Amino acid sequence: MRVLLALFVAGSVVCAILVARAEPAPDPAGGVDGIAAWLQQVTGECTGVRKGEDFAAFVGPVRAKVYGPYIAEWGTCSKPPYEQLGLLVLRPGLEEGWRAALARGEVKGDPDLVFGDGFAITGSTGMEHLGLKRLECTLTACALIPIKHH
Amino acid sequence: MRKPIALLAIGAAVGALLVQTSAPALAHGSMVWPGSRTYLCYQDGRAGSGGGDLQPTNPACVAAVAQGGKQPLWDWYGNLISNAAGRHREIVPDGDLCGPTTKYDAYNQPRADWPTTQVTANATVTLKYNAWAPHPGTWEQYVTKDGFDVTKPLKWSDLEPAPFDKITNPPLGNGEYSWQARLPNKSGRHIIYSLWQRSDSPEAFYSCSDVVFGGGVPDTQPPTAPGAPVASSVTGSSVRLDWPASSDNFGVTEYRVYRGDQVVATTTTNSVTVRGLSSNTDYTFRVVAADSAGNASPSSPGVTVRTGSGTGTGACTVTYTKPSTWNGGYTANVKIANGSSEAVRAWELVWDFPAGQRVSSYWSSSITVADGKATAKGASYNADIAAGGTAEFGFNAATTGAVTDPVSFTLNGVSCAIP
Repeated sequence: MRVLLALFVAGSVVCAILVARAEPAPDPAGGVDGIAAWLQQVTGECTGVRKGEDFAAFVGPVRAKVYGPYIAEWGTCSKPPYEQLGLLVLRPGLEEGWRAALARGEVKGDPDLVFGDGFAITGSTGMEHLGLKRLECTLTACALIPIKHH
Repeated sequence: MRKPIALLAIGAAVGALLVQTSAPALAHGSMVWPGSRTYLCYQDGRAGSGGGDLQPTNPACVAAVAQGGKQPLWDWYGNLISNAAGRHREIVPDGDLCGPTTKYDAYNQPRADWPTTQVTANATVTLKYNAWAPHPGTWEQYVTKDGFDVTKPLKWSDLEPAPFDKITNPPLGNGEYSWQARLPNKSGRHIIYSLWQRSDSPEAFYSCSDVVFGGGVPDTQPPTAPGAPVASSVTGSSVRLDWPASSDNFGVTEYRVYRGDQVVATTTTNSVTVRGLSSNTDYTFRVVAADSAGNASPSSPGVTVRTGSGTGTGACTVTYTKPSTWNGGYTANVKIANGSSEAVRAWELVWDFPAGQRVSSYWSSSITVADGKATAKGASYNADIAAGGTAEFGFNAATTGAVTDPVSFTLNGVSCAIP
């Protein structure tokens, strides 16, 4: 019986380990390709990676002006339901840039990105599965907030 | 041995089930009938590109993409506030009802040419709302009051005080919610404003559907293709184009003159003068007609014309700054001032870009580097520079050594001053 119980527990642990792989782990040094490879690894999706296109054409001039200086590299891939999911390799300073834009009245609310370590993704739905976080900002401070499981 | 393996599998399955029940259901959606602004502009963009990209032709959709980029249309189902919790009138200011966040702000533009859906007053219809997965919540549908003016910012007080339709947990099938509703007694142009407040989360979704109440049938018939344009009055910087008119069942409201994929002129007649051209240059133009319902005709045949040897774009000034540099890279901002009395269409700025650096990202333009020169072209929303106007763009560059700032720029082949 003990053996059977141990096997049952082991099965649960195996599953937990598999789920734990969905932590934000891409190496920003791997660039957009690294983020895409990680998404493909943990979700099985993120195909048709495209790089080097006009960021402002994707997000418009307002957000391009705010985000642009803090993006080292960007690209997109297809990951349902997103036909074009943005993958951003970040440089430090985006929080300050967003708050400055808030103060100037150029943007409102919070950045429309979800964040990992040194990178961000433009989607929202399903991102809580990946351990990514939202950034909630006021004029004086920003805070990374885990995306709640409902 | 079979039993232990089965238990191992059951354990894994139970683990998976425990994880699954703690994961959120995916909730994203928007009204697809009558179609929301983001949905109909997305559909317009798909049709305009022929698939694979988004190139809307409806003027309001074009303007929305120019302001907010294509991403809000790729994400046409994500017009939401994640922590609304029913506080819609408290947290969404007047003028922002159709796009309460920066990402969707472009869909607040007060203009009359958004794609519309023809509906019948007092009719019982099936409302349809896209959803990626079932999720509990309540939908409220409001309509604008009599006398509503779509060319003014939509305010909460523009809506009838009570929703004409309200439903909780409507039936779901084939990826969309659908339910029967009786439309209100209205006539003419209105907005149906839909609020979806989830009951298992503070997240709420917002959509504006532009409708025309009446008894007629929707206009889905595009105008016929314009005839081949004929060029005349060619100068070093302009050309007059005339073309045989299109016909339409309700009437043509606009002609758009394209150079490549860019609209370089619009007119309500079948004649226009395109200005801001460079001298001694070949240009090919074509024309598309549109009607008030946003239907676009097939393209006319193209006409190619070579401009004369007169003066070109006139004086331009380029201001080049580097607000940020670091070991191995820099950010550059570029401002082009058009000091001439004519607009510069489809601008292209060229400057020396020696080896030892590469453009890693850019914004408000597209930049290519070849043969030691960088070429920046305007984005869809700033491809033209009005007479006396300016255009700004920027880029990040990675460097492997010292680089010097450019010492000369040419705009559409004409040298620019550097202050």
